[in-house]
Amino acid sequence: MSASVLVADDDPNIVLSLEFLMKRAGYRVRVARDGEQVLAAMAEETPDLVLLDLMMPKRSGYDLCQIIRGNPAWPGVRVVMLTAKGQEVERAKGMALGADDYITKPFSTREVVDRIKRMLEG
Amino acid sequence: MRAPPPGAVQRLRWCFLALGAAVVLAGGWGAPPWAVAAGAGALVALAWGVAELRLARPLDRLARDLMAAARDDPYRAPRPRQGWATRIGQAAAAVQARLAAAEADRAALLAAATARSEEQKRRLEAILLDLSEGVIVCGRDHRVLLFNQAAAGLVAAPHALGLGRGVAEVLSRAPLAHHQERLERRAEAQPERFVCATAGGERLLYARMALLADAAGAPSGYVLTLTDAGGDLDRAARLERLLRTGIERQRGLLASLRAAVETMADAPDLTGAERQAFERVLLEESLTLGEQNAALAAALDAFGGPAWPMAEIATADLFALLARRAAVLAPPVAIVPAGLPDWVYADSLSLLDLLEHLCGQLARDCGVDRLTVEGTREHGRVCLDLVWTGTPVPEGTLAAWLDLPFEGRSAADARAVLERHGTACWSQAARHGEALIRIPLPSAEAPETARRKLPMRPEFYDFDLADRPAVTDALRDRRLRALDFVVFDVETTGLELSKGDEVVSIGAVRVVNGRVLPLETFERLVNPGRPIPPESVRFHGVTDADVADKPPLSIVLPQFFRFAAGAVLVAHNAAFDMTAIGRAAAACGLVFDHPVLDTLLISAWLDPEEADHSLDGIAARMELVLTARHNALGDALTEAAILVRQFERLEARGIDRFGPLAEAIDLSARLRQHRMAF
Repeated sequence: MSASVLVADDDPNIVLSLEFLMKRAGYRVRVARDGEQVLAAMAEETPDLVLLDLMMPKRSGYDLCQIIRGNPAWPGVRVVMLTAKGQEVERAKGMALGADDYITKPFSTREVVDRIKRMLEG
Repeated sequence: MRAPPPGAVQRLRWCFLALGAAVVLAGGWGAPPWAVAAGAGALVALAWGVAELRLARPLDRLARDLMAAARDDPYRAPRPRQGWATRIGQAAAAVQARLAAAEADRAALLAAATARSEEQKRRLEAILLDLSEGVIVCGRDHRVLLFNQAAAGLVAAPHALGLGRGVAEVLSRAPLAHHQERLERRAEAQPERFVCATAGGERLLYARMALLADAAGAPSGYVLTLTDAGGDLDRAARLERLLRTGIERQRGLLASLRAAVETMADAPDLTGAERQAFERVLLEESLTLGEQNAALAAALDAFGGPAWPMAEIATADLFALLARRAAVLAPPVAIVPAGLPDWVYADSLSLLDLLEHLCGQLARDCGVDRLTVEGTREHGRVCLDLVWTGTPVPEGTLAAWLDLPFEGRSAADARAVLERHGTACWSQAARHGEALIRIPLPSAEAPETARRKLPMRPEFYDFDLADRPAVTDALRDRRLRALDFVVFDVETTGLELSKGDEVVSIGAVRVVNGRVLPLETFERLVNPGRPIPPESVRFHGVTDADVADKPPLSIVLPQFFRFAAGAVLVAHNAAFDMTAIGRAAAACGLVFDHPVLDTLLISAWLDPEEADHSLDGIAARMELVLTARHNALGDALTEAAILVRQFERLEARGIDRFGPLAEAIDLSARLRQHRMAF
């Protein structure tokens, strides 16, 4: 079965592209639009990778990343932070809280797909 | 009463003599004894009455006149006619005349001095009046000694600004006390620049504080220079918020645009409906981006201005101040400062308020009563870490703490302090069951960081570390992390200890639980009892003048012995340092039989392929940022930081107990000795 990706972002316009790109790369894609939806989707079926926006309603991406890393039921889930927060200290915080990668908006779609492919297949 | 003329006194004298003689003769001639007694009694009464009138009363009056002159009226002369006390009266008048003359001189001098000081005061007032900045001069107790009209115009309640009144009636006391304390902690301190609110929080002022010293050089108060900051800071804060949110919003828009465009280009097989959806994104996001751009440009026009004033802050100062504040929190938190001294670029008061806020929340919500605070260099920033034994604070909880009402008045809330410093904070797990809250800050240069590149001391191998008497079996099995270490360094008059070179300084620092404790240090200059050659002064900077009044090693060494009691001694090229103190120790009756480790030999064991095991070489490989000066304590601090890193690497290679380490470095020492011999 193909790998599954959970796209978590509250901006429908970026979700449109991300969802299309992930599907075309051959992954099964689900979408969550706020922090609580992310946790619900995770509980329903553990994805292989979460594309996590930092600034979401209800729970921030940092909060979610810490929860995912603290839950032994989700040991192998890859977390890629996708954010408009560009400060170096935000990246340091993301990595410190357990993110596998941190991609700053705007980004190259090809690069995002390549990095996710490497992470899921490498 | 009138004084009798001189002739009358003579006559009275003779009259008494005659009466006395008559009474005596009457007794001799057979007059009855009662008549003689009555005559004698009458004579005594008469003499008493005359003495009262002629002597006692004039003397009493004279005394009162003199008392008045002495107390409050130096010009009051005793009246001259004084009965039998005439000559005493004349003498008293002469003394009083001298007193009156001296008083007149004093008054004249005082008048001249007052006139001079009035003139100086008028000049000072003219200068102060002319300044557009507000100036307030205060004593150490924050009472106003002097102020100008500009200061009265800047504070919100000018009527409350008065001589002798507390400056806290017009300005927020916390920043004044904080910066006064910081200045008084460092004798050589530059004036502090900071932001200070008015007492009621109505207005923000830029403040500059410089200390005043008394004749002996002790702090006696401070001078505050004030300018209006409120408008500037308000504008700066609003601009920063607008820019930051605007930029983040733009990134999101750009991301959508770019993703949509790239997807459309890469996927010519899009269906009509899919293509329409992407085209809608392109249009919407381009329009919004245009609006965003215009809004940002308008914000820049409206709110351009200077930023919050920041200064170089020593982390050691910050931690010491935090320790004092945390000790009186409810519940209190014990603060243990750790790590190498470092410098950050920050607004010290608001940063301290933030740290205190976090300590308080950790104590209340997580039951933390003891925190290690440490500055750690990472990616060119200095991370302030609050470390406790336990689990990390969940991000959601930490975020809620940052939004809680803030006890400090230095910022609206804790989050505003982070924004002011362009940073964020988070909580993560640390090693050995510990967790930490980390606040990265911009690093600053220490005011003095010059470090000379020094030639290396010769290595010594006449010394078996592993076979030192103190290395007992119990010690061999102790975990390195569970031992106390005293890392030390000595500076000497030269390198030839066998030819009489002597110690000129000892510096040491304690390492406990795998952490450098920068406040637990030992630092002494020592009089070597012989001149320090110039080439050695170049080494360590200690001159003959520096040590002239310092105690000899025989006084200092027992102090160091007590400091090092119960610890493992560590030095870089330890044989040199141990030899340097060895002879004097024997003379003092001290035996330094501590277990000893050597950071040079550990380095040689860890990295046998490296050629340079000098302190500077190792520090450079470890990318340690050395802010400590090159002296005995500075080098001891560097060695301590190296030792802590070495323990981490040793543990990674399975060496976590003293015995195996001592054997490994002993082997390494023998190999080096062997290699150097050929």
